[in-house]
Amino acid sequence: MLSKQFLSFFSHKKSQEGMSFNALIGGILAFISIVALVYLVIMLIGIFSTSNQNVDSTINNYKELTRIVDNMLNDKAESLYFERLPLYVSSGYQIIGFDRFQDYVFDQANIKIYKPNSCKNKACICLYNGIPISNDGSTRDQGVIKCTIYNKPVKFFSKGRAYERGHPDTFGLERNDIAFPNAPRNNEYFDIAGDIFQPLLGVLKVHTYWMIRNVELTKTVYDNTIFMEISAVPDAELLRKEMTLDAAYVLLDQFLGTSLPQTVDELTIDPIIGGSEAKKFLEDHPELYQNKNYREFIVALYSVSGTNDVKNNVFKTVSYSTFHNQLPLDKNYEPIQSEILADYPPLKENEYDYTAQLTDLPPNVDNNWLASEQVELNPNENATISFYLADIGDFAERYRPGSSDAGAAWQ
Amino acid sequence: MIKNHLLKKAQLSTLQVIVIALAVGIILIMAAIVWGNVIKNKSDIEVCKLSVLGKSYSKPGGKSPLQLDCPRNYITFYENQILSRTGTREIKKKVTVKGIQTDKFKELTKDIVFQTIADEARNCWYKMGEGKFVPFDQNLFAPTTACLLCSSFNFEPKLKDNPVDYEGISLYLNETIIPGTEQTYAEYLQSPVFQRQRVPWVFIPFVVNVVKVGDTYDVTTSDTISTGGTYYLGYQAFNPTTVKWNFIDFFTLLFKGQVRDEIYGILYLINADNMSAINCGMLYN
Repeated sequence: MLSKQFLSFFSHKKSQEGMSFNALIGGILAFISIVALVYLVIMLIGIFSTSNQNVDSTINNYKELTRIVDNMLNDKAESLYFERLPLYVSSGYQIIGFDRFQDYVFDQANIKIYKPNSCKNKACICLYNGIPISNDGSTRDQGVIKCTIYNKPVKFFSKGRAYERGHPDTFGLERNDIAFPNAPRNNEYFDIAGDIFQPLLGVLKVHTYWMIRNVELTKTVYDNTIFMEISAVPDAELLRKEMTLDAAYVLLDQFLGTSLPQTVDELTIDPIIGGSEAKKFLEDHPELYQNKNYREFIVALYSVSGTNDVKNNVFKTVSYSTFHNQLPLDKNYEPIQSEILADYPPLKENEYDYTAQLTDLPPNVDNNWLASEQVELNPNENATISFYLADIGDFAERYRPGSSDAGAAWQ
Repeated sequence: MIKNHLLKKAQLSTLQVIVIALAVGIILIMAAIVWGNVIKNKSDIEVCKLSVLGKSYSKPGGKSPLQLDCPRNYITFYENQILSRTGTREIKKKVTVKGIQTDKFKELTKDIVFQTIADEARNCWYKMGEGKFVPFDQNLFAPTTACLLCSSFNFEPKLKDNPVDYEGISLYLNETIIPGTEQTYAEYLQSPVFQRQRVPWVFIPFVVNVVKVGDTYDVTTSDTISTGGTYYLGYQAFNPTTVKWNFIDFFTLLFKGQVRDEIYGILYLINADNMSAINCGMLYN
């Protein structure tokens, strides 16, 4: 009896132990599963959520700008110049300077933007998310991320410059109340927009980006007012690009025998021509290959009739990264680099008949190198040859959305 | 009697004690300020490096919640000194002239300018983990390239008005041994990613310039630093396969939090007016 009781007790204890052991194992497994699941969820959220790095960067750059302004305003010198400050402003963000004695500014679209409440009756520079619209002052705080307040009697302005294709200067409306000896002639409200839609020809709109540009800051004290100029500095490389683009237009004008509208940033022409004709054209226009100043913006894609799927017409970007980084060209590494920079698919020449990326090459590269990569045309086939007049970044964006941040810097 | 007299003579008056105490105090305060700046300067570098490390390795899904703490250094060359400003703190930068470390010199020379740039480049490369880390987001929507500005070099107006060209920065980097090491600057700045042979270049040992040629502009490289210009030294990180939708990349991204191992970065030294000549999708700081 005793032994039975003992045995039953023992077996009960054993089963209890077994249960607790199982429970323990189960608990551990459950814990691991939960941790793994949480990790997976965090990973997936991270992968698919929008990167807010551009926001952090814009805020960091805004802080740097306002700190420099603060240093200059607090300096006793009546005249100061800060030569170059690289400033990044992401798409969708705007930096606006408000004067001490004025409650609003105007942007280039003639929209009145009221000073946020936090600035009260002081001068301030504010960072906005989105385009601030506060025509009646009731929504003056809308979109404001941050404002830096300055206690001094400051007037912020920018030097007015003509709109340059593809890259705007500051976005403020013209103002005529900047008056001190040797003041710049054309002035605007200080307003930097990360991106804007610029109307062209009354119908077209062109999306342009600020990205990273240098600004220069000038402080002038006159008549108890501090005039603080914050202006975009023309970038030599951007100027070069403009001239190159103009040259590309001229070249295509010659080929097509017609004048292209130069106000359009991107253009596609699809004349259906035979393979032999296409070949002849390319042979007749060695300048497309030889004159590097034209190449940057012209992309020629060729495919046989019926397979004119641009996405499959993988085009070369080989010299792009090399050119922009000014590095010695090494053919073996190039496809990797172009893939890295703009996320283009790798070059597979057997997938198409002819492709030519008529782009710039570094000065030290033999022009024959590009030609040697090309595939012969079949003169008997009809072909479509398309010429795209566009920034390479546009291409990447169009065919691989989200992939051309590198190229976007060039717009 | 004589002994007493000597003892009395050896005793210091209250005034003397105060003067000595003041002198010692001033010396200590000055030393503390100097050392404080040195320590702060060094700690800035370490703080930045730690933040780079932290951000690079805390990217679930390729995105880190951490912030980088790497402010820009604004270096201004004067005729007889160099000022370095980081945030609100300004210090005189030390250079070695004729074997002696000093923050004052008789005149600005090529060696002093190159030394300063090389030193900043070394610090920048060190802070960025020698190109091995990508402290920027690498998820699907992150930019392909991202930059961080380490230093900006400028010259005082007097030097700008009569610009002098200092040629041969590449040679300087190739031949000059980093103090306290056995490596040249060029060797340090190119390792170790360079050795992988994935990338034929890591450090751009020259200045990128855009020059007007006839009616057009052309991009050239130069080995010259002009006192008439402003130059940026920065780090550019590439995020090569972010948007690649192939199986391996996706799972690498999922489980490692970053895409493949071929990520790398470069240092760049560029004429400020040609900022867009480098492909920066974003400037972090």
